[in-house]
Amino acid sequence: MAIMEEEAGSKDIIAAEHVRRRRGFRFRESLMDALPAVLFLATLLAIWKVTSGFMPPVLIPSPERVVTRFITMWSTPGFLSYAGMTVIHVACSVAIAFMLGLLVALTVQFVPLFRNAVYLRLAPFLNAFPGVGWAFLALIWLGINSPAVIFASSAALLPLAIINLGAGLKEMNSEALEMALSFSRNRRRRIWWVMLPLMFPYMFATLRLCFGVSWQIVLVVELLSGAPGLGAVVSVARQRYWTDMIFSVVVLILIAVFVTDRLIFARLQSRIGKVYNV
Amino acid sequence: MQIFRRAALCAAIVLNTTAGAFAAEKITVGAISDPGYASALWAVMNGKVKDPAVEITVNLMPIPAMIQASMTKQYDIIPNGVLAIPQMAEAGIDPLVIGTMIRHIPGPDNHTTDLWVKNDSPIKSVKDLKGKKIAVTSLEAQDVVSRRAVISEKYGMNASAIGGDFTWVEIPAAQFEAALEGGRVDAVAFSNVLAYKVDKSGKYRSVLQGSKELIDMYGGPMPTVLEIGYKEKMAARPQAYLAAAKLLRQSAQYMLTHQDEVFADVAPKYDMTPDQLKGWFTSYATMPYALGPTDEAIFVKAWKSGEALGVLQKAPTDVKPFMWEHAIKE
Repeated sequence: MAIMEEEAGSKDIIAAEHVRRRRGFRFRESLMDALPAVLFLATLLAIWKVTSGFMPPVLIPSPERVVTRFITMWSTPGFLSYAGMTVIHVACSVAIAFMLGLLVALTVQFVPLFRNAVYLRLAPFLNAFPGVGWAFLALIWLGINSPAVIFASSAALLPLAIINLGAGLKEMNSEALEMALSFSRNRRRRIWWVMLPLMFPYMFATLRLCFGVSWQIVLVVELLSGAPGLGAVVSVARQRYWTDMIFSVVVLILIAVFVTDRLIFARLQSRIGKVYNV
Repeated sequence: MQIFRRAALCAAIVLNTTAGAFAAEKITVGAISDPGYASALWAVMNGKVKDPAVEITVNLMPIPAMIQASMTKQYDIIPNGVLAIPQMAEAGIDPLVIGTMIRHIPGPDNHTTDLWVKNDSPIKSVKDLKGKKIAVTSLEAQDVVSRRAVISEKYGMNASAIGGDFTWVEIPAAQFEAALEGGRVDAVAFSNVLAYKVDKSGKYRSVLQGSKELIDMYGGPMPTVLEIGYKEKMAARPQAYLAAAKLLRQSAQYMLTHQDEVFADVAPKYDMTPDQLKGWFTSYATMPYALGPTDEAIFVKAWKSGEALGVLQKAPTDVKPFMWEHAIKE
């Protein structure tokens, strides 16, 4: 009995040691993974700090100056409300471009007559149309307001959505679609239960792509149209020679994009991916 | 033969040195594309006033481009607002004031820094503009900052560029009337000669007489735009700058003494009449290209207003660090 207990005890010790070693290995592995990124950031900061010592603040403001401005700006309700406006512009334009893109891609899927019109005419036309052009047209048609910004950035994002989602539909498993057709003649049911789940990888790719690009477009449109948002903040910063304010806006956008992409889109994709093979 | 060669070489060296010594220094001047600037600089641009020691090149551009150009130091002499001087210094640019380019003329007929609404607009005063859209060419242009200072200090409203009582929208001055007529904005800030033209057209109504309020606030006519250079550039060629500054003043004086000749050429290029230009220079503003007796004291007061508005981080209390030792005075 005692021998058996002793054996069991030694097995526990071995197992615990094994777990400890595996943990240590994982820690070292994750450390090795993170180290290059940390070193890269540290080098970048060091170069920035040294360069700012030789340059006037209007060209390269020091990291301390940017941090101070960042804290001052983003603790002021006025600036926060402008940042909030940009978030609304981004969210609305991504949602509109995504939904419209999906609608167009599905329409083409079920009415192949439109295929050439959409993929050989409409998409290249929209793709080639400059964002600045949309901004000025929106300004003339809708005035200096948020709908103008949302319209212009949605129009600029639409070709991305159409092309990406169209590619998703094109690559779809035709056997699965045939099988779905044999189960139901109801088009809505087939779209909802078969096509959309099969398109998840492309839908997520489109969403993440549109989200990243939309920040760039929205800012430019806000800057050109004069509508409230971070673009207007950049315009003011430029006129006051406050380059640190421009850096603060950029840092905020970097944080917003990183957090949204990693904490929302990536987690959602990973959770849904287990079910739908995303 | 060798003696001739040596003599020719010496002659060439002497000629080259002499030519170098007498070559005119080149000074580039940036200016706003506005009939006022075009008139004041007309004589120098058309060779009516000259100095063999200096060759001036003038480039006209819109206000936002001028703000950008001031950062890159691509012109030797540029116009910039009173508040831009400490702003540039804070940003490490080191400007020096050569003179005053534009100064308001005191009087009840001066509407150069007003806010305008449509004649049939329900807006009767600045207070009614709360929450409304005001179109400006550039939020940080001196005439706009002056209006914001008046609104803030005389009317007690929040005239901040971001998150204040108004939504300021930046659009080109050429689109002001269309924006107002189309209801895209509720008020506009016409400035300089365009303000005079609009005032005389009777199409719009003023709800804020900025120049009058500024005299009350600062105790003298507002010197809105200054003629500036960059410290290191000026230290390298002080004589060239002095010659250029004097030439620019002469050009502005030529305009005053030859109004018919200058305005007849400039006015049609800006879709206006010579009488409108004459009217602007008589009742709205002067362009002296020199410092006036009250200018320096007003700079300090304007900087204080700028600090209160959040446009400046800290208002300087002394003008001396920003004044060129050879600044042109009236």
